[in-house]
Amino acid sequence: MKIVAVTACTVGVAHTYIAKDRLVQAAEKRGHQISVETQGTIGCESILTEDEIKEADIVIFAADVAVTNEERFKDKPIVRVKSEVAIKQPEKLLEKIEAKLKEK
Amino acid sequence: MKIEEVLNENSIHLDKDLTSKKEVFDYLCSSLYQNGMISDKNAFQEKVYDREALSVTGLIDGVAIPHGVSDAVNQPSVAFVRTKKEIEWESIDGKKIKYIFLLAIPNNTKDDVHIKMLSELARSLMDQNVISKLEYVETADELLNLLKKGGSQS
Repeated sequence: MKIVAVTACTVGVAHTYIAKDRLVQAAEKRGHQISVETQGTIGCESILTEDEIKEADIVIFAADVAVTNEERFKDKPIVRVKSEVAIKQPEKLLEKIEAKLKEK
Repeated sequence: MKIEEVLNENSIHLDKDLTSKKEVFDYLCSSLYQNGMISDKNAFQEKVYDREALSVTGLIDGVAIPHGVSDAVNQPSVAFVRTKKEIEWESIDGKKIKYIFLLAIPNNTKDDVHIKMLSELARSLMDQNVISKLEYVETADELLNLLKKGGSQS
């Protein structure tokens, strides 16, 4: 599965980046490709490229605030969760997504 | 990571007899105020409570990273306390808390360099190489060295 994700917590200093680390860890463990853009108080980093978005099977927003430039993802299936979910149970989240994609 | 630029040794407190989240917040906010990191203890503390209400700040294995964004913060900074006993505190793994890093973040800051340090610190606190040693540091210096190494591993 090719995954792109955006993480954005309220304050944008800690949980934003921890959520990214947890998603990357979980995705790699399950054999997926993942690119994660962080939207924090210092701005957006690791900004997703057009190609990455185009090729993604699924988009995950692990965000407690609005995602900047959401129009980039307008034709993609998006899973929206709180950043806490990505931090607490990233593997369960991915399991659910895998199951849903299989159903299609 | 030049962690000492955000974590002053005077803001490091070991084995304190604090038994609740409220006591920890009071203690650490006072510490930040005494060290000149914040200009108004009550105003900042209120922001810490505001953030606390939004989602859990307890992470894994006894570590918590509460934080506040406020005009009363002079510079991005951290205060740390290791408590004598575990405290009730919502956490992502359900465990109680003993190691609290309170992050102070200025409103509308352009100080990206130091904000990044706070982010790196938070990320390193999910690393077992760092967490497992928090119980055993005996001085402020030892904690700073541990965090310096942790930062470079991430």
